[in-house]
Amino acid sequence: MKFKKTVTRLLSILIVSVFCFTLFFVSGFAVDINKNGSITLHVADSEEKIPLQGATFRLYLFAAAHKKSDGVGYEYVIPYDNCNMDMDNLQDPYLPVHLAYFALTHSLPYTEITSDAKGNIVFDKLLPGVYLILATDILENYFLPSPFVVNIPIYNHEEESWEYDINATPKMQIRYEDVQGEYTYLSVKKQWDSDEEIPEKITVSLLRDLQEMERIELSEENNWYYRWDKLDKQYTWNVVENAVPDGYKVSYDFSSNAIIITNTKDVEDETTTMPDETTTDEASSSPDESTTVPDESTTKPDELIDTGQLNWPVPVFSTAGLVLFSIGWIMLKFGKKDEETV
Amino acid sequence: MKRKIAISLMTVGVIFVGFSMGLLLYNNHESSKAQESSEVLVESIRLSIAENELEESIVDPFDEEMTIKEIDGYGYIGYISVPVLELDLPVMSDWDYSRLKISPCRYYGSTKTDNLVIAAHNYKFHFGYLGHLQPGDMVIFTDMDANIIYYTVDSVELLQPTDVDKVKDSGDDLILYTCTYGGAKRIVVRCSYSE
Repeated sequence: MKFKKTVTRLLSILIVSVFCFTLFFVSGFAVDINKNGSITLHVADSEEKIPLQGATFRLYLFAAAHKKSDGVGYEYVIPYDNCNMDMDNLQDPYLPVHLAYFALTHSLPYTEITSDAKGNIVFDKLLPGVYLILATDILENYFLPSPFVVNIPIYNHEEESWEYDINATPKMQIRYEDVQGEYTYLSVKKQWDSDEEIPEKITVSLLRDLQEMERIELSEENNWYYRWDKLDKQYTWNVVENAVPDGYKVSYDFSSNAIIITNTKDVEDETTTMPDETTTDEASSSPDESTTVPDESTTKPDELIDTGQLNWPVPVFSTAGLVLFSIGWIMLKFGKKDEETV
Repeated sequence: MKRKIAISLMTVGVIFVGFSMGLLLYNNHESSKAQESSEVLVESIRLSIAENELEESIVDPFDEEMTIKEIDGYGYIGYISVPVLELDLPVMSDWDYSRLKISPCRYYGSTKTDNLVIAAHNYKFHFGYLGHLQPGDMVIFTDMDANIIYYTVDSVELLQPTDVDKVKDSGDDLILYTCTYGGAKRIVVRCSYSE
C-alpha cells in the first residue's frame, strides 16, 4: 500500500514536471509589452575605462513593440515608416546610420541627456520598442561613437526571461594623433533590384560624423559609381541615399571603404499606389508586407550569433525517457508480483 | 489500470529516447557534412591562393577590406588553421545561418584593421573543441593574398550572447567564437599577433 502511494506521488511529480517543462518551451516566455523600461548608457573611455562627463546623447523612438506568439515584434512608428528601409534585421549595422540621417533631416522629436560625473546617462520610463541612440556632443578629442539601436525588452538567455532595463556602453575612442593629416577614401556603388524602369538618377550624401558634407548624383553617366578621396581619417565617414525613389526600399552593403546601395522595388508600395490592382481576392487576403512578422533576429537583436546545434534536448529527453521507462517497468514488475501473491 | 499506466510510461519513455537518438544522429550527420565540405573548400582556397600568387595585383594602400574570392557562389577571405586541434577550415567573408552550415564565417572586422572575428558552429569538426584551446596555442590565418598571419591564444572565456561589445570592440587582433554545447553561452578565444 505504502509502495503504491510512493509510486503514485513520484508519478504525479514526474508528469507535472514534464508538463511544465513542455509548456515552458512551447508557450514562449511571458513578455509584458506595457511594462516600462530604461536604457542606461555608461559613457567611459573604451581603453582606460575612465567615466566621461559631458557627453550628450539623443534618444529617438522609431519602432513600437507588439506581442507575438513567440516573443516580441516591432513596427515602425510614424513617420519612420517613410524611411524606406526595412527593419527586418535590427542588427544591420547601416540601419542606425540611415535612421539617424532620416531623424536629423526631418527634425524628429528626441530626448537628450548629458552624461554625469560617473559617465552615466539614464533614459527611463520608456515603452517597449526600438530606440535609436546617437551622440551629438562629445569631448573634443574623442571619435563620435557610431549611432546604434537598442530594443526593449531584450531576451536574457541565461535568466530565461525578458529584461526591460538595458545597459549599453558606447565606444568612446580617443582620436588617433598619429593619423592627423592622413586620408582614407570611400566609394559608393548604386545597384537596382527591379525589373521595371528605374529612375534616371539618384542623389547620395556624404556624411562626416553624421553631418552632411556633400551631395552627389549617381546615374548611368558615372556608371552609378562615385569615389571620394582624401577623407580625413580623424572622422567617421558614411554615405546615405538622401531621397529613396518612390516605390523602392533601400539597403546598404558595406566593407571598410566601399558602400553598395541597393534599391529594391517595394511590393507593398505597388499595391498601395495602384489601388485598382489590389481589389483582387488574393491581394486583399494576403498580409501587408509592412506588417510582416520579423524573424528571430528581430526579436532577439544585439546578440552574438547562435552557433550551437540543437544539443540540449539529447541529454534531457534521453534521461527523461529512461526514467519514465524504468518507472513503467518497475510498476509492471511489482504489479505482476502483487497479482501472484494475491 | 496500474498496468495501463506502466505501459504508457514505458511508451513515452521509448518515444523520448527515440527522439533524442534521432536528434543525435541528425546533428552528427550535419557535422560530418560540414567536415566534408570544409575539407574540399580548404583545398579550393589553397588552389585559388596559389593561382593568385602567379598574378600581379595592384594593392591599394587605403583599402582595409580583405581580398575575397568566390568559390561555389560564396565569397571567402582565406582559411584558418589551429594545429593543436588539427583544424584547417575555410572562412567565408560574410555570415548568415545557411553559410555557417558550410563553413566558419567572418562575423566582423578584418586582418587589415586588426580586429577579425570568426564565428563557427560547434560542430565537432568546426569549432566544437574551441574550449580545449589554451593560452599560448598557435592559430594561423592565411588570407587570399597568400599572407600567412600567426596568432597566439591569449585567453579562452565564456560570454553571454548579448556581450557583442566584448567581441566587436575588444582590441584583440583575432577572436574565434562558437556556442557552448547547450547554446546558452559563447566560448570566445582571444588571440594576438605572434612573431
